[in-house]
Amino acid sequence: MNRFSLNGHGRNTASKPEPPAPAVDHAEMEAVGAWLKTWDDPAPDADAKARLIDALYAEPLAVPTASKQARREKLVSPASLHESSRKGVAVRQAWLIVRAQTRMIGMMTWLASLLVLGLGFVVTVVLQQAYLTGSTSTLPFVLLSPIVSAIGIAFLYGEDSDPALELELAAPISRRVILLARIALVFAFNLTLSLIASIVVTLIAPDSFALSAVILSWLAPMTFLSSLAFLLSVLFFQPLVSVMLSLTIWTVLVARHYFQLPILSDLRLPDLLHVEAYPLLFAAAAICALAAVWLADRESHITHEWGQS
Amino acid sequence: MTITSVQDEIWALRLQRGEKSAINGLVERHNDALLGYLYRMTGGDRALAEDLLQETFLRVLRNIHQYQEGRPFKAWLYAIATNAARNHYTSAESRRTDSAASDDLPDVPDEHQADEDLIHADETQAVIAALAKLPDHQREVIVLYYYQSLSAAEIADALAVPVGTVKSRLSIGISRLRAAMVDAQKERDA
Repeated sequence: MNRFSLNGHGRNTASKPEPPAPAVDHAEMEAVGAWLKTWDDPAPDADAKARLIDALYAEPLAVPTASKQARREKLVSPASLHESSRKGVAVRQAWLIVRAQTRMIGMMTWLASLLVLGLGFVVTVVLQQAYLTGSTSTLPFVLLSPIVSAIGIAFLYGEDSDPALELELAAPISRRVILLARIALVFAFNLTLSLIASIVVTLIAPDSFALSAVILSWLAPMTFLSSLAFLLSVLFFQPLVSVMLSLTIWTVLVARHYFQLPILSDLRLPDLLHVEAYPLLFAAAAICALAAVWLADRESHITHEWGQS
Repeated sequence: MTITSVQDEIWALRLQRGEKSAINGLVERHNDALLGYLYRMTGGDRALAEDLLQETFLRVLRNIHQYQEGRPFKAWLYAIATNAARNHYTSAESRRTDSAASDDLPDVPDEHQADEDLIHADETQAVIAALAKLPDHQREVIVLYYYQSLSAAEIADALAVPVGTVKSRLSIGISRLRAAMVDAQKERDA
């Protein structure tokens, strides 16, 4: 005799790689569907339904507080179905999700960013005379900002760097939203630090640097490298691989821009750190971010397929 | 968002406001389908399915303040029903005795019934057995998809897993059921 037992697979296997999904054609789906339908629905029972409603009426309802009551009055009104009132709920939900993710990002991420960017800033200020040549992209913190942000973002994704992944997957929020919330947090943190550094540098040497030029010199590479690191993390599901590739790409870009290495010149590698390439970097960043978000829900299949091959 | 799902939301929000009359609307609309879902998830045990149905609606009432405006109510309801079924089996597993082992399956037609009924009963038994052999996470997806006609996105919302995972589980589940179906047909033909 067959017994049905829910053995907990439903929730716990959510984070484990699914076994390879076999190709199923439409005819097969239809055939299985027709076979399953031979198991009839249970016959409706009006008495049982009436008993159920009686039992539910006997259950006391929690009385909402006055403020909640007022808010719900507004939500239940016909106007609540209008799109504009739904936006308010969506914004509040987004804020709650982002706030919740602050606890999930390790303290080391914040400290490392602060320390590295802080040191870069101190070196910039201490050695300011050496850099006051009008070239914004030679400032140490400008070179550090993109890679600090990229490393922080690379470690946001992957089972090894997220012990609570299973719990998160059990929550009614998609993996994409969780990821986007974390990336927004880390990127915003590094953005703020870099902005502060830029403002202070331009205040120290207002004749040498324009604030907008300083900001652009790190903003474009930082946006690009962060998006790239995010995409690589989603693709490989290994933060270290993402970090190594991001570091390599950044090193090549810096070497191409500053040292004009013959081997890079021979390869006709474009100078992506040149001011004229910034629009290209922003566009590439947008493409990488969109691709990563699109792939985020499919990572288990990708990693699994690659693991099989 | 469909008109019916908006109506569900309105009923849910009215319940949050303390209007008990909204219970009627929600029960009338979801009772039969939800009973069907729990009936399949309990292997055809109608009494248990009715108990779990009541437990599901009671949980809805007790936790209605946690319902988030904008989330599809149907997915939330099926999430609660799925958890009620999981909890039942989790607690039942530790105190289960085999004395009632035979009460899991629906009544099987006796020998006096017509051949067609017997064939139908055999098919039903085979379907129940095939579903019972599936892991829980695949059975949930299969039942929600085929019997409850939920879309992959709605199932993903109800089970809190990505849509890709739902599709993957569905494919694997269908393949296994297909194999079971072929075996059942061979047995019947033999």
